[in-house]
Amino acid sequence: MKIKSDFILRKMDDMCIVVAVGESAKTFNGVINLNSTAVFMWEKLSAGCTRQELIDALTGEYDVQEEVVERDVDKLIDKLRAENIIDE
Amino acid sequence: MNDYQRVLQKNGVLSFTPGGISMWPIISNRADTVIIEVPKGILKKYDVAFYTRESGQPVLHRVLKVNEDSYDMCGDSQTAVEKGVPHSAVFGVMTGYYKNGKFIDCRKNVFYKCVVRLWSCSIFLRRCLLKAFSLVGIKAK
Repeated sequence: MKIKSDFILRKMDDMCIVVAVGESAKTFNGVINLNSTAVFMWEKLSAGCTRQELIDALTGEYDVQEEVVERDVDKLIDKLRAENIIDE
Repeated sequence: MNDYQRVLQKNGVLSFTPGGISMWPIISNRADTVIIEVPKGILKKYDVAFYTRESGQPVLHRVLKVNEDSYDMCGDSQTAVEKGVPHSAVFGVMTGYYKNGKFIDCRKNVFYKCVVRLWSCSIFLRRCLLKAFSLVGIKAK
């Protein structure tokens, strides 16, 4: 899985947002604000990774149960898929 | 309150791809993505303001003059100045935009600032340049 190149992470003074450019900007209408955990996941997905690699990276980075991580990763991936933001 | 205002109020920031040719050549019709933030006080000359006209229409145009309680605005491809836009009508300011995949920071990019100042220094000169462009087939897009 990989974030499409038309979606760019923009780090601003006190927040991080995702900006749609190019062809995706014509169909994507919305604002994506990312907290620090979501930024971590976004950066992994931007480089390309599998669902399991993402889960492993999160459990390695944060002190949290794997079940919780799996749930949050699946929730994020579902949202990204629904908005046509990732290539699989 | 329009949808843009609602999103800005909730998130503090908004990005979208504007339609229209009034801000050409800086912003092209449905091709460039702008980043709008909630203004921190009164805007400055040359800032690109996101404001609502009395009709309710949201507009993205440049500040050419700051008055005591209003702004004079003009689109970059236009020559008719819209005078007396109340400060209270402005709900956003463009802080940057993506053009051809590259980010231009309106607050820090020196080249952008120079181009904008040159382009905005004289409406008469702009009128002449736009006429010259149209004579050689260069049109706002």
